[in-house]
Amino acid sequence: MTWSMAEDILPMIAFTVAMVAVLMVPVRPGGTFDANAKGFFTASILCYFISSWASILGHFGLFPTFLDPAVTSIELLWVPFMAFGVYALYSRQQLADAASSQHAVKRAGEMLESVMETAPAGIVVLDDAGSITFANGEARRLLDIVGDDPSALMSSDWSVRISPDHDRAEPSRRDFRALVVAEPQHDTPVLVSWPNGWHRHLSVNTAPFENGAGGVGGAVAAFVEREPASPTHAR
Amino acid sequence: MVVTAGAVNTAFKLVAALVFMPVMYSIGRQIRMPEAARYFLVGVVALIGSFALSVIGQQTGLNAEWFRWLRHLVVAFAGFSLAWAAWQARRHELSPAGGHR
Repeated sequence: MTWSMAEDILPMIAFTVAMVAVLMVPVRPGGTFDANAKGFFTASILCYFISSWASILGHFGLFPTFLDPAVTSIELLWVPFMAFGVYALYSRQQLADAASSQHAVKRAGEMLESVMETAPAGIVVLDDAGSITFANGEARRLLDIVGDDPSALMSSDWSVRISPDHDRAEPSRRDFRALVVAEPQHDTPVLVSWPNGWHRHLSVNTAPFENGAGGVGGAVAAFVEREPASPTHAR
Repeated sequence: MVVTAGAVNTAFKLVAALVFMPVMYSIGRQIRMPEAARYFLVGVVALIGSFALSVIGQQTGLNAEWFRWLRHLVVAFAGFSLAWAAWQARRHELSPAGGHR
């Protein structure tokens, strides 16, 4: 073995090990490595792997000399392959992050929906005009909303009066506009009346939320019946 | 001074590596595998160093045994560094946080 051959063996061993290590990186769902990243890194290291082996074989006269320019050209490819590999890794990471965030949002939404549906209080989401855009099961029962479709929320025939027992009671409205204010409300008495004379006294808490422009975009209102329903109140 | 084809080739690799290096570095920094990224970076820098040594050797005619050994050692160091980076990446991918979120 000549010294020059010994020089070539060391890089050959190094890049063989690197090649094996890259091939052993697993491609897993949700992981950072995907087939593209692994392929580009493998191709990049393969460039030097081939080059090292070509040098070794050259010492034994086993490597055809006409392939020397090809080996030289192959070495040129390692830079773009390496860059593509890093970019593929980064893209995969971004996609995995987006999928993870989407999953987290979906899970949070499902959890919130469960909390809403199991809460013993009626919970509604009001838009800036005081119209109901969401109502949980208890709210649907208390407000006599029938049907799950959004139009059912809009077609109720009640009239709403805020602070009915107070001297400065709000006039009756067909929506909950008076509850959509900048400050949170606590234990606000609300009278909901139907055309047939049936009515419910509710105690309402509200929390406003902002719209994109920094104004009040609506409110979340939670309410319970102030007094148990009596036969005279039954519809 | 005669510029050899080999020197042009190596110089091209060197320039390409130096051009791509900031891109690879800035993207690589954002990948959350710090151990793998560090050794990957070391490996790439070592390979660029070997290009530089190669260009110097080819242009100056410096082809002493120690110089060739130095160049090959740098290339081998780059190879082992990339191998270690890949191994760290493998460890990361097999860890509970690395996949199957």
